Amino acid sequence: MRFLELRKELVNNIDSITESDVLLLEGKLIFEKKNKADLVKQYLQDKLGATHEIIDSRPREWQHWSTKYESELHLRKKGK
Amino acid sequence: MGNFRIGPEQIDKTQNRYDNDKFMHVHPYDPKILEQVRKDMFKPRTCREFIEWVDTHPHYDVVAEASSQYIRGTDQSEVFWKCAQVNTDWKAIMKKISDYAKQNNVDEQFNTDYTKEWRIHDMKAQDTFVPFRHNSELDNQRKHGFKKQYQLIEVTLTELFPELKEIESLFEMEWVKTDINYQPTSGAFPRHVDFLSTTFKRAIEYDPEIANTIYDPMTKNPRGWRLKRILLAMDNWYPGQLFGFEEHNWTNWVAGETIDFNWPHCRHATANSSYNARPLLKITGLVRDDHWLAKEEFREFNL
Repeated sequence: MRFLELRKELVNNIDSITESDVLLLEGKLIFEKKNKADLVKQYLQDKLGATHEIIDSRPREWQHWSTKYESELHLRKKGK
Repeated sequence: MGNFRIGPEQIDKTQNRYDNDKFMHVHPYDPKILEQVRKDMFKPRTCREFIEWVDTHPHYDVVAEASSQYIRGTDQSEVFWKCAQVNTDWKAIMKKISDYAKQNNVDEQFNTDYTKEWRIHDMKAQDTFVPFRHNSELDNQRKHGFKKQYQLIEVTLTELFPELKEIESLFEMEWVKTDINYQPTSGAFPRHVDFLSTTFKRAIEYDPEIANTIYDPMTKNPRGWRLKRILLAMDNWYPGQLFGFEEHNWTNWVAGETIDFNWPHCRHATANSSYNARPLLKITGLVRDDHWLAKEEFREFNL
């Protein structure tokens, strides 16, 4: 599963998600808007919930970033 | 076919056009900058055009980061996998390597600087194997204190280790290049992804077919080919030797154990926190899509 393939799937399957809503940082999906992250979290929960935990957290704010982000998601395989 | 060795005066500064380049090299990278660089990377290019783009890019470290599309939670089997077991007299080979390291003070005097890929001896024959470590990447690593990383001991271009050249040939790669990646105790190499550019550039320079083949930025390979880097443990694992692929770890290996891995997308890092040197045979080359390594098959060899 590669980021651009996953993002395409999200855009194709979640009405209000566009490419610019979902960015990648160090293996995690990162979102400017928490409501968008919540939609993606629900989608991933439905698709991968049997095998993965979908973990959401509030990203750290870095002074050298041009944008503030409200939410990030990452997957963790269950049983690890 | 031109030579790809590029001097500072040849770097195309027009690519340095990002709005906020003051913080280009600061971790963690700005996700929006990564997105922008990734879009640049996905423009259609031949292999030759792509490698020129990477080689002249003023922010190589950011390009590398943007090229990785690894998603945490990916199964370990898609991150690294055993591709071979090579059974031979590893004890005799290890003695040779240890003697070589002792003679050359490799364990005591290693410092990752801007010399030719940290090779222990300069060799004329190495001149056509264009080192690729971009200064922006090295600057970044050294800024974070990674000044002792590993040393490369030449295999392909010398007659010092004929038994290792025999092992190299088992994998039937084209444009193959093999080194001993020798990490003395205290060495640490930070997280990174690869382009395998030293091998790739050499193939492009001498083979017009590969040079003119379309580059696939999703797989980071020429269409129809796979760039392969396999790692072969030449000694049993010692506790404290670390080889991480994001949340997965290769550990407890035995001599002869050989792995292939997702070098294009999964960042990886090594550290030797044991009290024993960690030598890996690093074999890099190109294979066609129908090669057994490309098909992720396993083979056992007895020498």
